[in-house]
Amino acid sequence: MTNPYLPLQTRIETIRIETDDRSLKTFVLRFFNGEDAGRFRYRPGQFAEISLAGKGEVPIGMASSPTEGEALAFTINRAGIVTTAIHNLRVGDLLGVRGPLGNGFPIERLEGHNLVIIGGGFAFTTLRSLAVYAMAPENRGRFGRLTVIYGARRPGLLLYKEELEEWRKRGDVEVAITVDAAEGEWAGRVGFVPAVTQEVAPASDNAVALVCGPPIMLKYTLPVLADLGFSPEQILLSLEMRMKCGIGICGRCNIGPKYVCKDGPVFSLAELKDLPQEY
Amino acid sequence: MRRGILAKERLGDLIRRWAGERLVVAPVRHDTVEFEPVSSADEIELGYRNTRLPAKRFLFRPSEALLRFDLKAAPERRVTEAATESRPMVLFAVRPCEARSFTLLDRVFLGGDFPDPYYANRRGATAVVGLACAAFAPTCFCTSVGGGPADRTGADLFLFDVGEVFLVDVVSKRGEELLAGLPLPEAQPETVERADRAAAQLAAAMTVVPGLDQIGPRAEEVFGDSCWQKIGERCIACAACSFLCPTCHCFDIQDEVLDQIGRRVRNYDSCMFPLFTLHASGHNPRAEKSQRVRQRLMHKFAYFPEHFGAMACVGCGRCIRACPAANDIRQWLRILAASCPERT
Repeated sequence: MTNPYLPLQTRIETIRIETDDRSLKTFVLRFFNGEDAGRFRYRPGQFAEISLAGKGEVPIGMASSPTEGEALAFTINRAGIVTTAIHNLRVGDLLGVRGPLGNGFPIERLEGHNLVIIGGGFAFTTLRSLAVYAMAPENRGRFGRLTVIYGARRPGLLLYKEELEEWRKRGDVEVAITVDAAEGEWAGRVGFVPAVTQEVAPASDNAVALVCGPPIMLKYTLPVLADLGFSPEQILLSLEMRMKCGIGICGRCNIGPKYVCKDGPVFSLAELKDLPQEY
Repeated sequence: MRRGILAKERLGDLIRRWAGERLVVAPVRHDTVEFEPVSSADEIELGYRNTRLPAKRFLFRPSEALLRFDLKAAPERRVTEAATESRPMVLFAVRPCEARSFTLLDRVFLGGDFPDPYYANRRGATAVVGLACAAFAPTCFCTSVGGGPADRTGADLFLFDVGEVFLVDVVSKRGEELLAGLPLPEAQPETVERADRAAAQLAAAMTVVPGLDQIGPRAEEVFGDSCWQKIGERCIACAACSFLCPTCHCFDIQDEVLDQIGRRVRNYDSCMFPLFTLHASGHNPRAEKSQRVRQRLMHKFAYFPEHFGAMACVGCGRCIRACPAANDIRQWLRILAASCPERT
């Protein structure tokens, strides 16, 4: 019997400081054992339990796309004991990875559809995975139009800045980056994600919206999408919840009868409407 | 199913033989009656109604190492699996409610995509000998949740104490193996009738909380019920109910390290604590006590039935006996099952 609590060992290959307040860093991890890399098959939207022996484990969404090769990337917000300890690590240090966990985005269902990716703050990480996946040469033809709307509070807090610039130059994806408040030399959009979504006005025909962000962003973005004609089935969200086991046993990440760790983290708005408002 | 008679004086031999090859755990009387390892039949208390602590703790340990750390070791040996225990065990003279609880825990720990190896190894090495109830405690309500004083669910062997002999039902293949060819003389029809009648009378005399199987189908309505605030006010969030519950299975995982040596350990945890769901951001989806009491009851009577087709309660009454605020889950369930206007 394989032990689902035993992490796979990885080594930190790269650490990228993403934000000017240094609260978010992207860790690129390489499996210690080549066989693990081959067995670790994931899809965008899944997460893993990242562990630092002696400190503990944290569930983190996967920021890398399987199309990028064997290295895994996790963008980690420094928030508690474990994430602070992880932030203090250096290239070459070890991290455990348990996963992939959760359902991830339903790629088969998304195929043939226009994708409208809407992210706010550091919740953008798994959306980055999906965007990269959909833009990969071998996958681009499987999806229709791609729209990415992404906002942060201010320019210094935007993740993946260089990459966003590359996406903008591609021509086969509409990219709208916005900040709540400009600073420095920012010449881009200023405005909240819901307002920008309204401006960009992605068509709902044959489209699926994938939305991740803080509750306040969701609260005002979902009605905009509804006005644009998106049905609750056409809107997918990825939820966060405190987790321990990640495999549906330890009992804490449920919303009604659904466990976010194994039934989610991706739910359609239609599914969420059937669940109690306890998240 | 084979059924026969076991003379009581044979019990000593049987326990001694089992104890020679496995761990035998049975009820022992001190100030309270608790399940403990025993080596002879003399130590065993058969006249008990329910132990204080559930027998669950021999299958799902209150605290258990999952991993071992040696932070000085080479990378590939730094984190290793903690050994899983699989010593053969007999849980002897387990009341039907508790034997039933094992089948509920099985669904959680073994029924998913990732079976839990620590539970699986222990459970796989365990035989359960059930014992029919001869009396019930005022807090018992097993018949309201699908059980009964002679419910054989979860037992490999099942005993009725009928005076000078035990009437023995061999429920499973594992039960047959436990007897190891021991002949069970056929029971007199009177003996069988006496055992069955006693169990039926006991079941009939128990107080019933009706409608519990209807909480699941009415989950949305029950969740939105106005009674939760009042119920929550009467709970002090001590979690005694969870820690003593034979079916509660929630756990926490923590790392412990001293001088570079340590372990990742799981400990019983409870949805009654606000920390249980507190996010690192400070957000807490179940910050209120009323939400947490609701979670515990909804999990047992709505969510668990939806997942596994059975209520996650065996009616043992431990939560009622242990509650320092004198709360009675049956009273709460009556309110919820009835959804009547003036309640509590």
